[in-house]
Amino acid sequence: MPMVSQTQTLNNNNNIGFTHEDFAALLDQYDYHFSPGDIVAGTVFSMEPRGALIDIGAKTAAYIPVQELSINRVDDPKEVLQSNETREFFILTDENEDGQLTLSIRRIEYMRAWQRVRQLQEEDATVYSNVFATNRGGALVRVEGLRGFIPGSHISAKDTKEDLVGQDLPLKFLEVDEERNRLVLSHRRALVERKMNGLEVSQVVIGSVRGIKPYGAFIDIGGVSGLLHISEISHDHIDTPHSVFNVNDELKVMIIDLDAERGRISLSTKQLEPEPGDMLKNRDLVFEKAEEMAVKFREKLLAGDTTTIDPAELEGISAEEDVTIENNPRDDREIVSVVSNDNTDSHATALDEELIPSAVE
Amino acid sequence: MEAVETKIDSRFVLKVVWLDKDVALAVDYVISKGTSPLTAYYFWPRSDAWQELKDELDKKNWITDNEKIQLLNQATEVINFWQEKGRVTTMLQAQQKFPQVVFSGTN
Repeated sequence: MPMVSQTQTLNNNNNIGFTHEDFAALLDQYDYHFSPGDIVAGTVFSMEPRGALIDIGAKTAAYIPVQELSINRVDDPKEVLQSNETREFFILTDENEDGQLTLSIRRIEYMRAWQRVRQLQEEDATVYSNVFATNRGGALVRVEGLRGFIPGSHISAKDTKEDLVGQDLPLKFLEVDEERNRLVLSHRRALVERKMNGLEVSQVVIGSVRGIKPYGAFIDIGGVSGLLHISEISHDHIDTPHSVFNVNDELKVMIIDLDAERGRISLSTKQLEPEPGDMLKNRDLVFEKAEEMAVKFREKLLAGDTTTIDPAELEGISAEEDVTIENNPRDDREIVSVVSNDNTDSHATALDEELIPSAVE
Repeated sequence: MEAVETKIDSRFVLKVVWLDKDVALAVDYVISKGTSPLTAYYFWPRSDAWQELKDELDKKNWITDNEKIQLLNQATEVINFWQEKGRVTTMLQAQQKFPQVVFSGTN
């Protein structure tokens, strides 16, 4: 409880004693110090149809309306409160003209929810959450009672976004920001991390082409996708990956980099070419000799020959794919199931601010 | 793995995060439309999670002793199981052993 400036009041009245008026004035002052944002103990003394009256030691009973009882929807206040029980309440608003304060339990629950997601993020835990809606930007889930957002670029699924509704997805935390009211999660990171446990650099895997962009091809390797950058397709120059691949092509690729932090898998067919340019001239030969070439690659790696891959080539490559972001302003609360399957080349590296809904409605 | 799959008839439910190095415990309040967070997560063996959970529940005198005992006994069982089998048990297997507990996350 904040201190009341009692000393001053008492000193001023030293000569005339302590009257009822002084006492009332003190009470007023004391009362005033129930400020919004405080958490106080209170006892339920009357259940009302759409809320409850709570004694928190103020002159007038405080009121908690039904919508402030829980982060969940409550129809009847009796679902949450019972007469005479003492609970903690958050002071939501200052006194109204009748001297009544408005209380909330919902706000306390939100504070705890944020605390929990911060704890989970610190552990880098994978949480499982059910997709309850999708919008243009991605999918929405509930995590610890908060509304979480999975940007389209962080959804790794063969299904369209619409089909994800109702599914439990493993998710990692990308952004937990109570101040900005944002909870952003990644499905891709959760999958890739799990998958990465069974993968290693120089390993040859079979994949299929999922999408083709000007900067490379996305290859599905058993449920997660990796990027075969245009510079890692062949030693020969390629104008566009479209000239080499079609969607659904099956191929062998070698893993050249695993970045668990960003959930990125980098792939190469160039390193598998027995002769420079074989990917364009004789692809079957490349796949036939893939394992053999991979052994050579590994030997070079062990010998410390870092010239096999120029790390600069991989810089600035974003493995984020299939982002279809429209920059139309939209109402965050309006959740629309729009799935765009057109392969536009919008290649977003940063999340579109406007598309991230707030975590607390 | 969310509450949807778990049969709940009490007012409270124990929530567990099944990690390699720790097991985290929390309590949710259950109402007809869902659950809401009542406590933070407490990590065992990083801290004395059981005692922390007990202290937190004891502060809330609107929770009956029976309810507290039930939650704390469950917590004991989960901690013991994690101590014995945590390393070789997946979250899914743990969920099957404790159907009344909500397992919300893992490594």
